Amino acid sequence: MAQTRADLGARPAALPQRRDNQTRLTAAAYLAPALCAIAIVNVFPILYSLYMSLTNRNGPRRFPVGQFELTGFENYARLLSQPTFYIVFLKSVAFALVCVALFFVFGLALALLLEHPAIRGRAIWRTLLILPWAVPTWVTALVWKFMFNGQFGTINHVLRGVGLPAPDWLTVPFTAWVAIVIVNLWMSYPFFMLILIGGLGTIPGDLYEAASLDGAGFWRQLFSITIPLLRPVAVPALILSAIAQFQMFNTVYLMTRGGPFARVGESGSTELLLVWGYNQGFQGSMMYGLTSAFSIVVFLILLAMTLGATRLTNATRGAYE
Amino acid sequence: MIAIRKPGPLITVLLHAALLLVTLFALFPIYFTFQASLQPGNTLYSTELQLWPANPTGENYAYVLFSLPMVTWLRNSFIVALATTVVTLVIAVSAAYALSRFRFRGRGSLMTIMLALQAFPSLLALFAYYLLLNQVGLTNTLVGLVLVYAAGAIVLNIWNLKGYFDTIPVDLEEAAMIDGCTPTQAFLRVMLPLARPALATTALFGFLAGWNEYIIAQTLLFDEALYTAPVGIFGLQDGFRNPWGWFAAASFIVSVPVVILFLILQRNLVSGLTQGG
Repeated sequence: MAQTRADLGARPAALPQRRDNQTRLTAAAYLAPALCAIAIVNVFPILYSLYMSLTNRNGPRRFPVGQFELTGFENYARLLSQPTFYIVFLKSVAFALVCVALFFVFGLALALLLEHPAIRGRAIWRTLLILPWAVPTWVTALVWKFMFNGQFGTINHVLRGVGLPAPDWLTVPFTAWVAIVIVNLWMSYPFFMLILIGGLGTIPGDLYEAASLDGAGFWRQLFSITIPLLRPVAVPALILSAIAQFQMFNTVYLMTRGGPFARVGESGSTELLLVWGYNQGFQGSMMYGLTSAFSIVVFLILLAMTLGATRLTNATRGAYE
Repeated sequence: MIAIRKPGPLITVLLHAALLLVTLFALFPIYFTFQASLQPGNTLYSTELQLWPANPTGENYAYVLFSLPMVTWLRNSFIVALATTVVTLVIAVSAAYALSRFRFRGRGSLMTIMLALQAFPSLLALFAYYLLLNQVGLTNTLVGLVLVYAAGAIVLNIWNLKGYFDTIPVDLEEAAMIDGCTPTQAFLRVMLPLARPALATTALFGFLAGWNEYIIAQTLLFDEALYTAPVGIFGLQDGFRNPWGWFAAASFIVSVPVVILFLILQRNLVSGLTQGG
């Protein structure tokens, strides 16, 4: 099985360096295309959004050329004084936490199950289980949207068949939320399963042997050996995934468009951060100024999360070297 | 988990049953799409549970493939996905090599800055991309779309590849350089072949990103002849009742190539993801 990063990195990976211009030029030449590309496609949109966020470009037309002027921090004031913004924000945090926790538990359970010595045909099971990952997200959204349909959906066919209540999933706030979490779990667990299988492979078997001799049962071994030793693999994956879930857009937008909406002006029950921003900026009202301010605020939040996360993962990595 | 005792038959059966249950959860939606694609007309709008069509038919496939410009849409998707993969891979591989093998001032901060840029929700800057593409006359073109997709992929790919390159011992390149190779030759002949799992993983995800994306393509392309497959397929919605049979057939056609690609490259996934990253 693969070495994890925990085993590595102690050895410097650099080539023997001659501090001459030749080396420096070579490095610069290798980096130049990436830096140019990043400046154009990553940095420019951020700066442009920053500029837009300071204007009153909240017009009705799609990408208007019309008149707009600098209005300072008006958009930010407007955004941050809306209770909706905070509701949407908290909803996204809750969504990210619930999803990531489920991914981990489900992924770990499957990894343990697949690695259990009693299991026959391991490679086949594993191949079948990662298939949801390969399905395009928009196909996932479409298929599950149909399966969750209140009247014709498969899920309700089954629920009615066994005599359980069959809600109209995507039009009831709570069940719509449950539905997007289930769909998200379906498409995301394979990644965690694979990562954790990789991680399990790095745990030396004699640890379990010793623990068994000392009389430790399954749960004790799980919490005292498996989970602590999976940390170097699991923590970066969990943090990156939490950030990705915080930015969840495609599946949710294609399934519910952020709805169901209770009242005009209020956020829909599945209207997560980016769904809300997209609906504000590109659907109907076209408030570019406000959306830009929103994107900058989200940027700052995610930036703090990302930088905190790198520090945290560096810390955990250090602990295992 | 590595068990010591040999598990009893009851445990073995229970474990397989659990695995079977989860596999059903994993595969049912895929199976459902397949059987839905064989349903004639509007029989999908049934209030009874149907697991196999009473009269399976290929009419949905025939309609989608021959009455719609599906072949053009698939070709567009393929061009965009392939171009995105190649462009991001070439740019990211060379940058990752420099960051892994050369020591220069600002190297660490550069890695951090790149990661920080990734935190920007570029989806909400669609009009900035629109403006950018408009300036260079690339709106409503596939090239413009590739540019935007590359924006989403380059930084993560650099990080992933750099992490993997770091795990490859430098001794081999040093040896090659002692034998008279330049750093570039050592990189191309020694390092790249060793980094194959990471390259395959990066390429796979690059391709999937281009092949699967819908929202941005839908915003930036107006011309039906330029649609990528998802944009074309979503355009079939008529606002009242969705033509699920066509959706299912089209979804299946679009998914099969990527699923095959995934299965071919899956052996690389575990090492490509856990060594680098």
